[in-house]
Amino acid sequence: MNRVKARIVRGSIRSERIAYITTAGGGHAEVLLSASQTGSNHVLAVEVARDKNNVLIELPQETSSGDWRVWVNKNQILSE
Amino acid sequence: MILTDREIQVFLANRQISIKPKPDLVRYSSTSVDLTLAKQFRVWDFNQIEKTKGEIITPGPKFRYPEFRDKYTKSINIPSGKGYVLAPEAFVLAWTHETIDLPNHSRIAARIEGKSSLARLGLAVHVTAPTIHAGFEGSLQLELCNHGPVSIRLTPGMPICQLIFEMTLGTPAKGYSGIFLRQKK
Repeated sequence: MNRVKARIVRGSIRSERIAYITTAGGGHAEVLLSASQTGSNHVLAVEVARDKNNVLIELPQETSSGDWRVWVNKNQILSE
Repeated sequence: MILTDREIQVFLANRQISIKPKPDLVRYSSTSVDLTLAKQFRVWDFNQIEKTKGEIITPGPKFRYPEFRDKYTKSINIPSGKGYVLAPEAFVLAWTHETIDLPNHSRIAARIEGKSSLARLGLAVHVTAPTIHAGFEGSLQLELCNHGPVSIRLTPGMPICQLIFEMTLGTPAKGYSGIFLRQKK
């Protein structure tokens, strides 16, 4: 399990968080999560693949645009 | 048993199943692979429906679906940039861009399911017919319905549904040979 850097915003209910993760392409993946799947500045995700600069992560939920997996820059990975 | 992402990729590599074009790595989740929307849609011909107002269809041995389809619907191509706006309560037939092949001997069946990101908007991708039988080959037809109160723009190439592969316990005596075998967009 990896901690991946994200901007975390409170959701519409107490246990809900909205995470914005910067993708390798420069965009943002938005994903609705439970508080237990996030920290103050990160989300929990699983590494699936890796290339020279980027890591493919699988998020705990589907993003608003329909992806479970997104490429992020390896600098976005806070810890493994 | 449901295949995980790794098993799906192994089955694809061994040509035990086929998805064309091959999905990118980001299209997988732990136990499914996303398929994308094709530009071909089949929409209702409301002029024809108006002309035959009051007609009742009777599904059964004498019912011929291709005749029904050709009488009441028309095929259209959606411009990539513009998309197709599915109004609330609207129902159209669409296709996956990918074609799949589940050879009978591979002992694989599949289910097509919606994606939660679209389901939250009210979009359904099938009308109680998610099963893809072992032996099926062709493009997958989607029965798209907007159950939500807001119009949804559908754009060719967008991830529209997910495919879940299941291993059968034995080899079926006969693979799928119904009228939708090798169906094309």
